[in-house]
Amino acid sequence: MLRNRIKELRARHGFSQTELAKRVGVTRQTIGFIEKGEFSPSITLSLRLAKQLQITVDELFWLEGGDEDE
Amino acid sequence: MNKSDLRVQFPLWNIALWIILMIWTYGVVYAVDMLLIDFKGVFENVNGVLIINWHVPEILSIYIGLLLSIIFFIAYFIRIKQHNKENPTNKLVGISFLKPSEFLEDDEMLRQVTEKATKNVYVMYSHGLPLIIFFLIVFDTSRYVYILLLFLLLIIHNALFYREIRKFLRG
Repeated sequence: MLRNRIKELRARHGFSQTELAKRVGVTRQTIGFIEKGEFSPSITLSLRLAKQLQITVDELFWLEGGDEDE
Repeated sequence: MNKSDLRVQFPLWNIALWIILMIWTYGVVYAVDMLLIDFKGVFENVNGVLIINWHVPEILSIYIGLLLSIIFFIAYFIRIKQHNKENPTNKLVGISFLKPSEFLEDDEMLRQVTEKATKNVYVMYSHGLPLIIFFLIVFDTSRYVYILLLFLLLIIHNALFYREIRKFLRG
């Protein structure tokens, strides 16, 4: 499962889901699903999110469940 | 985007239209049948007195269906105008033959939701149509029942689509 730190970093930057969604060009619901790990964003969207949250993509997303060790 | 967005509600508008057409078609099928058999059974001569056998439900359904259709289309075009005024960058056209207006493709997740909803509809048709074919083979029934079954498929199709989009909106 794809885990992420979007919720934590969004709070740190003081963004609401709506504001972050607007900044990266998606709907609020999409941000919600990504935060819950129920939707895996494309590379383009991941890069946009990482840019807005001032972090690298590999620090923002990681795989949970042993895949990261392979 | 929220549940009151017209693009989200589109399947509900479609369902309403199919229900209205179900009512109207009941009378229209009867009227066509009457034309084909030269109104046999409608006019009877009993002891020199002309008796007209009114088929009230069928006649009423034509008028009620027509009235509801007019009300529907007035409300529909008002709603589209209102939507286009509120969303100048996401305008809708009243009647589209190329791309259904309920397709939501604002972002990559909505595209995925629309694909999933479309897949569910595909599965429904792949089961529903053979069932209807079986029904038509086995039962010798009124033409209206066949039409009714097709309307029911269209209603289920839109209900499935709406359910998938609502799941997304609930977040």
